[in-house]
Amino acid sequence: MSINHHLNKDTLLAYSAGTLYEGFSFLAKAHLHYCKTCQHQLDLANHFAGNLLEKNHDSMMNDNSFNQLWDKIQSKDASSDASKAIIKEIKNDFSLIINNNYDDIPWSVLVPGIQQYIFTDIHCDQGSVRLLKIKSGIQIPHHSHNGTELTLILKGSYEDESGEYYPGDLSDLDDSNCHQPHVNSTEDCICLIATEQKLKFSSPFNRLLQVAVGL
Amino acid sequence: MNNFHFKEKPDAVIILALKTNNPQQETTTINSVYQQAENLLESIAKHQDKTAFEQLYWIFAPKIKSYMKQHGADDSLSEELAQESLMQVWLKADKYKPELSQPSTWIFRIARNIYIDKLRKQKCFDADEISNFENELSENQNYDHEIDSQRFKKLIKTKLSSEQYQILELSYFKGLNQPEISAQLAIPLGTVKSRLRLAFEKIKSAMGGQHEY
Ligand SMILES: [Zn+2]
Repeated sequence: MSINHHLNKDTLLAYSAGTLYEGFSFLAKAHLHYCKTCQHQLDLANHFAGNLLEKNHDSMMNDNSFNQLWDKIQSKDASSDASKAIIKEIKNDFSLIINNNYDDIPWSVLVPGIQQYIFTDIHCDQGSVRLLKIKSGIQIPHHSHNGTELTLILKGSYEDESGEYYPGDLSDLDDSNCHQPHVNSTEDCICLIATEQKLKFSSPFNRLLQVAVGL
Repeated sequence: MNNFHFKEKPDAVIILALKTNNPQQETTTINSVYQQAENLLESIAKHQDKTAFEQLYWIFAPKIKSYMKQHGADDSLSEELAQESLMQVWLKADKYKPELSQPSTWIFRIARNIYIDKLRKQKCFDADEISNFENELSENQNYDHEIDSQRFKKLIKTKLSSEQYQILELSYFKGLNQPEISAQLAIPLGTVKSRLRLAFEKIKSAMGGQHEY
């Protein structure tokens, strides 16, 4: 897979620091799964952070701090964790994306030509993380974003003002970008989209459409 | 109002107090801590060596506790999360690969994922991924700890502007996201992004010497 469009460096740093918004982390992780270039960059950021941690000042620990932990380890309840069940859900979501089982996805029609699947386990405030399956030739109306929008191509391809996007490519757009993606592959284009806010469509008609479909 | 107090930039020579089983405390430079942490992790992985684990605990738990406090946890929660981080270190020590990352980087990722999981309550980072996901994709890198440590000091002391360092500190130690940094410093979001990008370029040129891109 040759990848030409990557995570912005500020997004990578936020991922490394753990401050990236949850929906974007999910998508960034999927891109990192495919992209060695970004993986190397992330390694560098983490490496920097490891050095920061190393020179962090020490906090006073309780005297029996270690023994307390050791008892916990011995008592074997170490790995019981209520959040494990949810993590498993997210793992399922993640493998759904990277295993190419797109036929098994319970798609629902968004508008004619576009089907979607929303990841409901991922917390998104006003935005969303969703898969879109867009028919060949379809053009998404001209829009910009109230916040950042990340898109990862999984199958097929599209082009917009900034170039052509193929599987593994990631579009990292902030509120200063406006675009009008057009599916140019003969097969359907499947992409993963994470937003933090609702999209801003340029024309009133499309804003009506937005109200109707909840994009 | 800016109510954060920024730490001074670190000194060129970083001395760490290293608490061991020996009641008499011993001090050592950061380089030998790297080496030592690597050896300790190996003993833990190979022999479930409790003594080695305890030594590693007293090197990293106090720093992780500070890290959790910096992210807003109170004293007792910070201690608990530091313990939990070290528990993960114990459980996953066999997954640590010295040829891929230095111990502090590996341990940072564990602590960060605990922070995301427990303090931010996000689900997209999973402790299980630490060893088998990020590392798996890395190229074989051989770190020279001494050169690396020199590079880091130079980066912090001379390459990063104080503005860039401040913004990295707000990200890594205060856990602020970009809109929060923008509000905190009363600068536009675009400026936050461009500062972070410039800071990343500095990190890359300073620390990326042993990597190939
Ligand atoms: Zn990439």
